[in-house]
Amino acid sequence: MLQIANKTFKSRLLLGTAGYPNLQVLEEALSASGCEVTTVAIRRINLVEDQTEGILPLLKKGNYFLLPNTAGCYTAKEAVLTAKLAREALNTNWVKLEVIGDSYSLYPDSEELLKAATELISEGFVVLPYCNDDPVVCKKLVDRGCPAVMPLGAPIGSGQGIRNPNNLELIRKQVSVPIIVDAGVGCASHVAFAMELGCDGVLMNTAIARARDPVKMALAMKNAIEAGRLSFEAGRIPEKKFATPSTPDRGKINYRR
Amino acid sequence: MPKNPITIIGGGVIGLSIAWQLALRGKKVAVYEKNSVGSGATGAAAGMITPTSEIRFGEEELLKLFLESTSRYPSFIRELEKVSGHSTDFQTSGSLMVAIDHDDEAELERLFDYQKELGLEVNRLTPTEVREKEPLLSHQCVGGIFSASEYFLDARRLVESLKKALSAMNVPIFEGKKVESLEIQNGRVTSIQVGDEKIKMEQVIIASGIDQKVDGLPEELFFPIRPVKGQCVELQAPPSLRLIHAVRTLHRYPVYLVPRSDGRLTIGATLEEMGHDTTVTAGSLLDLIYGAWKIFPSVTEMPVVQSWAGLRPASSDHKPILGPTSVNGLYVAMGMYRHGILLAPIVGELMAELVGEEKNSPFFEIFGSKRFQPKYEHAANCQ
Repeated sequence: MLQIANKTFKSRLLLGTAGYPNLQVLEEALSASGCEVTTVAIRRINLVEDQTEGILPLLKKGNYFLLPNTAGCYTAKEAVLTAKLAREALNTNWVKLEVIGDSYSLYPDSEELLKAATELISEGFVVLPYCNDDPVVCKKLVDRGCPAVMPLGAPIGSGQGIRNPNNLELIRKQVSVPIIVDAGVGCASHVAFAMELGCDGVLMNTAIARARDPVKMALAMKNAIEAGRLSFEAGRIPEKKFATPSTPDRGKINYRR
Repeated sequence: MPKNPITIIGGGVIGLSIAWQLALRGKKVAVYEKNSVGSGATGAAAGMITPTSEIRFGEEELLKLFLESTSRYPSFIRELEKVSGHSTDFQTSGSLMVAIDHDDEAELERLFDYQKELGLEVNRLTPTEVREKEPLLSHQCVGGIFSASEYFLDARRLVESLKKALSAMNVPIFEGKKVESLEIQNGRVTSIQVGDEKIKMEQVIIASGIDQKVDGLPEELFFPIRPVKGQCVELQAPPSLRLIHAVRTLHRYPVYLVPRSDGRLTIGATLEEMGHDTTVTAGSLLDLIYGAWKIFPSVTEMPVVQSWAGLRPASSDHKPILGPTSVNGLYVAMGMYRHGILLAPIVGELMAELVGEEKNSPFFEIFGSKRFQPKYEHAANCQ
């Protein structure tokens, strides 16, 4: 069970909803992934019109937990405004807070992020921040009242995987709230690895949406997240330099008297 | 045999193409268009007939329809221009897909492998070969794919040409006439209501775009079609700065550039889920012009002719909805999404054969209207 603020989720996989080949594939992939939390970019959808077809109606029909995000915001002010729009339109005080610092790497702007997080928390938002894999920033975000942190594994959409596992381990030691790896994974093994490092969940979009077969990849991610978590909980053996046979050396048939 | 004309609701490229094919078969046909012909998605289209460049993973069935349509295009245009005496600016120089950086190249390579797997006619080009074909493209270009059997035309000229050809064949097109409702009796279409007038009809083809609001339709014929907004901008290239091919990028701000023989250059198109909004926005123009500039730096010098936004009719699986319906005499050709221009010849032909000659096609099985009925029940998990 993944507990964030006052909510409990069975699935540790969180999915973005952009860039799928079409709505039908999106619907099938979400279903195959077993995810409960889905993110929607507020700037990308029309909140004014009451639509019967489209991403929002599909997510509502599937009873997914909607997590609006502030994708594409470059300043705290913009992000706060977008979060408020989302609260009005979607009737939720949850937000995935993204404040981008640079359009090439899409890395977060930590200064603006902290500013926006502080303001939104003081206004009663549940803020899940997309942040650098920086233990100091993560610690500060938790101190300001974020109920989870979402450090990146690698640049958004890059599919590079967990580039700095050491940092994720440090963050794990620094904070006790859930850690959701947000961005950078490309395939199932990346996800299992993140979970084995002790992360509590993974949020992804491109890895599934742009896979050749998104529905199959969604299933792979579901299995990977479960396998990775079980492997973490089961407690792995320590790494050793030399071989240790799993069966004893003694008692071979040749030496029977 | 029915004595009243076959009625087509919708004067976009699909409705007009069906009318044209029916007229060629000697059938009586009439087109009703609530605004003016080509005023919907058709008029906003860049007019590319590029099946090879447009195909994406999981769209193998659609590719068959694309290819059938593309192979018909040259003769479709020849015949149409002969009857109408109006050029469509149909160009057959092929299209280029180009990579600007090495991330693009990885995508390009992935697409190329897929195109090869599908047996498509494509050539992989080095940066030098790309610029030999299109010398004005940026030196940043790291490679490309050339598709020789791809075409492009001016969609608004195509509409004009179809209109003139239909008029030459005495097919009435009622513009500004909205079909308010359909009357269905004993599972069969009997009449349509246009304004205060009730007109007896036995065969009706719905070829409307994003708006399928016709009263009297049974519920199962309201298909999950939504508008997907696309913005375009058009520049005027001086004679020294003209492209020869349609050029497409797959960069972070993907664009296509389509040259016209009078020097206009269409840059398109965004894909936006914004409901019925058709505002032209600064951000989208920025993305389009930035995307174009990345590959064709000279665009910054060109005067802007116009910009526009249109709404593509998209079904939930982005495939067209074609063929007969549960109501006798009622047929549909809808949800062409980004492919209305590309699909016009084949959809015109298939629908004309179906309605005019009762000839079936396996495509009506694949793209039939039935596929939306049971599917919409299975909602997603979330225990």
